[in-house]
Parts: sequence; C-alpha cells; structure tokens
Amino acid sequence: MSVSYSTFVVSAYLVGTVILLWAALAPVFNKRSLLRQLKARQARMERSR
Amino acid sequence: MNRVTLFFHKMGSPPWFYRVSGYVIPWLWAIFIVLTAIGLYLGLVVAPIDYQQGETVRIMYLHVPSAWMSMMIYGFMAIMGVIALVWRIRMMEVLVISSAPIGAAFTVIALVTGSLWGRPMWGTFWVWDARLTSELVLLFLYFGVIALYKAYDEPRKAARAASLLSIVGAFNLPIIYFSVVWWNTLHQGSSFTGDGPGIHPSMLWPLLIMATTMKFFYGANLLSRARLTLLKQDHRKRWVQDLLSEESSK
Repeated sequence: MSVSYSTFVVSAYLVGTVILLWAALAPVFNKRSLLRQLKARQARMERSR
Repeated sequence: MNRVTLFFHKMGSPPWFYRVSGYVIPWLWAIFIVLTAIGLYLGLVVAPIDYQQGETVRIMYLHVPSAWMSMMIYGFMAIMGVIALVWRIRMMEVLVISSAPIGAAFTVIALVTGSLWGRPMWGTFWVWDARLTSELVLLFLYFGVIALYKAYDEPRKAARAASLLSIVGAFNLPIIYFSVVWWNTLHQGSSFTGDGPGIHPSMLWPLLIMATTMKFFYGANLLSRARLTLLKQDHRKRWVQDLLSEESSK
C-alpha cells in the first residue's frame, strides 16, 4: 500500500504541534497546581496561629 | 553602573525576575503566534513544492528550525552553565534547568520530523548516520541534564551538577554541526554556504520566519518554566509568601 507524501507532512506537523503544546502548557498547569498547594498550606498555617 | 549592567544585576534577583518576566511573557507569546501564522501560511500554502521532494519539502519548515533550536538551546545552556559555576549566579542555574525540557522537546521534533521526511525520501525512517546519531546523543544529553537535576534533594547542588553536565555535553555540538562534513553521511550538507543560501526566496523566507518564531517560543517558555522553578525553590521565602497573599486578596 502506498502512502501519499501529504500523510508524512500532516503527521510531522501533528507531532510538532502536540510536542510544542505540551512544552507550552506543562509549566502553566504545574504552576497552577503549585500555587493551589502553597495557598492551601498558607491558609492552614494562618488557621493554626 | 550603566542601565544595561543595572538591568542584569536586577535580573539576578528572583522577585524582580519573576515580576518583570510576568509582563514580558504575553508579548513573546503574541509575537510567536503572529509569526507562526505567517510562517505556516508561507510554508504550507505559498511556497512551491520541490521538483524532487514534492510535498515532503514542507516538513523542512518545521524540521530545520527545530534542529537549529535543539543545538542553540544546548549552546545557551553550556554558556549559562559556565556563568552559573564561575560567578555562582543562581538565576543562571535556574535558566539552565528550565531550558533542558524545551531543548529536549525541539530535539524530539527534529528527530521525528526528520524520520517522517526520511521514509519517503530515503526509504527508511532511521539510519545510523553521523548526523542522526549525534542528534540522538544530544537528546540523551538533555535527558541526562533533567535526570541529574531530579536526582538531588538539594536544588542548588542539583542545578550546579546539571550545569556541569551542560558544559561537558557541549562537545557534541561541533560533532552535530560538522558531521555532514567529517563523514560521508546520508543526511544532506548545509544549504547555507559561504556563497549565500542555495534556496529560492519563496522557500527561504518561510524557513527564516519559522526559525525566528521558534526563538520567541523558547523565550516565552523559558521564562514560564524559570518562574515555576523559582516558585518551587523559594516557596518558603518571604517574597513568595507576599505573592501568595497578593493573589489570595485578588
């Protein structure tokens, strides 16, 4: 079965998009989660005072 | 102290870096999006197909800039690693470890898109050619830097070890660059020779625009990751506590 050249082009750009999206979004989600944890810890500490 | 020196001195301060980078990041993303739209339009719609490669030549507009970025980022990491180790500047350590995942991402893109171009053009996804192999070694070096940083409990010690590996690993950059000259490789040589680029402007412009836009991606992503690393390392410090109080009161 022959695969058209366009399939390779589309696949390359799909892979590129997914990896760049992961690279861009990972720090955003990690930061949100970290801030949530830090705020919860700060609130706990203030309550315990 | 002149303004430029003062700026760099201030950038060494985590709270100042965090605040200033917060203003810069949206602009870098905006430029990246606009330039990418232009580059993709020129590369995928306007640029002609190659008389030998056909449509697959369009993979080059992603593959070549990614391969350039993979080498450029490692080069920056090595330079920042030297500065971090010699002058003990903490922000440089943060930038080294924040650069590694971005460099690894670009290396994976370069390897995968290269394979997807190689299958129809060379008849195979992979050959143990000097250029491909040295680029794969670069990916392992990126993984090594990331793994080494995660292997230590003490962040500064970890960052210094990662900086050292960045410097040592820089030996691979000239090997990647000159691999097509030193060895008889299946991978083509540079299209940018001393006589000027051997590429028609209709193909050269999208390539240059895509190469430029990747720099903005790196800038925006690096700053985002550096901010996250600072928050993780300094979460017990006063400036992070103030920042959290500010965010909570919003």
